[in-house]
Amino acid sequence: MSVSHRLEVNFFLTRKKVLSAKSFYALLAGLAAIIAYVWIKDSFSLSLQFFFFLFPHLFLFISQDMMMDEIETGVLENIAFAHGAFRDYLFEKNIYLFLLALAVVVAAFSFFAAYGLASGQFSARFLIQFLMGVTAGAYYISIGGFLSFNFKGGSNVLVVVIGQLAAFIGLLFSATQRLGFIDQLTAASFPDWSSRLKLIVFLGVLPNILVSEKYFAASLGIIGLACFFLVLQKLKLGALELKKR
Amino acid sequence: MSDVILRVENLAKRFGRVEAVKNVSFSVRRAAITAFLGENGAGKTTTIKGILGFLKPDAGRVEVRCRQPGYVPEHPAFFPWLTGREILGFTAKLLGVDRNELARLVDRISDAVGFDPALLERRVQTYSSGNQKKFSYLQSLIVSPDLLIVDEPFSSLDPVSIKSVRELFLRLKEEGKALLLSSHLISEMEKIADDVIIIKQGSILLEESVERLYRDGRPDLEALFLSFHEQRPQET
Repeated sequence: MSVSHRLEVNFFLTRKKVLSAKSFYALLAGLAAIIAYVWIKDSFSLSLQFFFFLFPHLFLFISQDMMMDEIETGVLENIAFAHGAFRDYLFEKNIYLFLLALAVVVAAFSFFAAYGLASGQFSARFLIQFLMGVTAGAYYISIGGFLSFNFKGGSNVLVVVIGQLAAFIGLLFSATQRLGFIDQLTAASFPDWSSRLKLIVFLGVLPNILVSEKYFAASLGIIGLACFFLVLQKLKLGALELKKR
Repeated sequence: MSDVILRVENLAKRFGRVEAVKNVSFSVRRAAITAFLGENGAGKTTTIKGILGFLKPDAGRVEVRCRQPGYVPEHPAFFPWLTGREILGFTAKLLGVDRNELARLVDRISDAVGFDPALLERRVQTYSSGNQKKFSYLQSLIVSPDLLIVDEPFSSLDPVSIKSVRELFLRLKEEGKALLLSSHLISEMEKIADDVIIIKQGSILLEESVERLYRDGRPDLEALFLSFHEQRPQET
């Protein structure tokens, strides 16, 4: 089995799955509607900031049912995936899903960039914000993939979203006790290891804040977390057997 | 070239406290049909999945002496978002089947198993269970495997299709292919099997050629199988 054929086929399978899901188009329409609404009601600049903050979630949503769905339905108990090839296919989905989501957000960003350049509102900073958003997206796929070993039917995505809501509400209701951390978040200043550790945890829950200029340096933490979840996925896959039907 | 295409040595697999397969050893010959018989839960499917790498055996060794074995599961499942033609296309690409050769093989095998090629344009998930089984044969055979492993070869098939599949097995054997057929349908197996392996509670009770069994004055395969049903399994 040639590696190039394997990569081509695995990409084909992942692409077909994503593009055959109606929820994918509903999500795209929803994101486009929010951004268009902000542009119409406010400005190009604010809608672009909304785009940067929201698009990493596309990577999260695209990771729904990434693993368990195919493991449990028995579709991998097939000659095409014999002798452990199913493990390669599942792990490589991280790459293909990332590339698919990237293609969508690059197309959207190109539209913003073209408009921004034409109207003289484009800044090189936007490019860095976009790259930070993509970094957050890569992290979402790695954690979404890891969670999908245990959470079925899109609940891997739900777990992350609920975690984000819980963190937001928790921070809101305990704001008076956490003024120090909130000040550090606002100033993006983390003087000691304890506060840096808290930041990493916060980034793990809401990596979208990377797109804020103040947090560019924290991208290394997110890349580290993405690698951590990829290693966990690899360990899970190494022990994976197709026994449930 | 050795006559043996598949050798399994001391294969063992445990699920929690249950020893599903215990030191199973056997071999499968080229140009022969090997019936792998056992009751429900005897360890047939676990053994097959161990051979194909879908399960990781706790111990033992599997030696497959061919490029790519074919496999037809008892209840085949397919990606629900793909048509039959798309599945054959990616299988051919992955396993190195020539595009021009593929069309010829699809016609020939569809005809042999009684599969309507017009169905290929539809998603496999929409096929009847019988057509899904036939499609699984089609997918496995387009790679022209020297060894075909089939779990319950006749399940979901109507009598006409059973006859077609039986004839296909005999033709494959004549072409020098090896077949390992795991089944409950002993009467069907008796018509075509050259070798028989009986497994019970994860242990092999018998590995013998059918010719030799009859030469030794043993009863027919069904009676033999039922006689083993009452026996305690022994380590081989």
